Amino acid sequence: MAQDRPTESELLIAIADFLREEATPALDRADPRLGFQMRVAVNSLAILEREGRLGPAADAREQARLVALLGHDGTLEDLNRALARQIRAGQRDERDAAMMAHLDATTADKIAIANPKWR
Amino acid sequence: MAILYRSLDHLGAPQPVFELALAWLDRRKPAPLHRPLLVHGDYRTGNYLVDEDGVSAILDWELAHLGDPMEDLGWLCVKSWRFGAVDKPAGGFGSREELWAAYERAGGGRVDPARAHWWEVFGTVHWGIICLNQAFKHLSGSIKSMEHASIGRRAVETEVDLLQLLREGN
Repeated sequence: MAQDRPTESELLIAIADFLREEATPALDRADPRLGFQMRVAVNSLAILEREGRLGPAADAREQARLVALLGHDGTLEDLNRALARQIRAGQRDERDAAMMAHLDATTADKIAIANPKWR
Repeated sequence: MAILYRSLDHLGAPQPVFELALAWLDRRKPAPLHRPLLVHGDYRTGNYLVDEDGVSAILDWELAHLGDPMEDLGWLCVKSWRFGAVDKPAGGFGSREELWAAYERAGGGRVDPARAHWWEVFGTVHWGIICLNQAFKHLSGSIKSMEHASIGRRAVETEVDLLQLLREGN
């Protein structure tokens, strides 16, 4: 059964906005160390909001690229383990254009969730 | 390098970008120095004090060791220590070339750009694995800390940086 609004994303944004705009300034006055911790918490809530919205499609794209690259199916973790093993064994390196395109795309999707301002 | 591989294996989750960077580093390992020199070990923006006259103090010496001084110059250029000033690779305040020239003027040996680049790649993958380790400390129960947990999600910043750095190095 679908939940009523707010959606997951809307509720997380509402919580983060409250914590940032109202709770953080009060905490800064009471104990700056806790104010800093609250900023870390607010930042993590923003990550979760983006992950809920963007994560499933990003995981599906990563999975499809890995299947195409490695030529076999598996869970995301199994496929990444197989790729990591090939790199460590020297079977693939940065001259492998198909792998580099996959790693660029995967990293772009990850940073769009973890920290979209990073450059 | 062996320590970084061990940490990665200990953490358990496969990390293709870190594997790629470690293999890249392994194939290009610089020749060891005839005479190892004092390395600070955590020489970055945040660990020195400056006033109008220049550097007034260097802090946090607990990682000091004998080794390749390029380790310090590379670590200072890791993007995570630029604090947003990404176009100023040297600690967020200058170019790599300015840093190397100042190092040579101050009495350090000649800087080989390839060697400095190797240490910047090393520093970047090292910081990435430290991020994962910080989260692991929370996840394993040895330190209960939201802050440690959240640092795990910073590891991908170094993946972005590594893919850029490996391209520059080819």
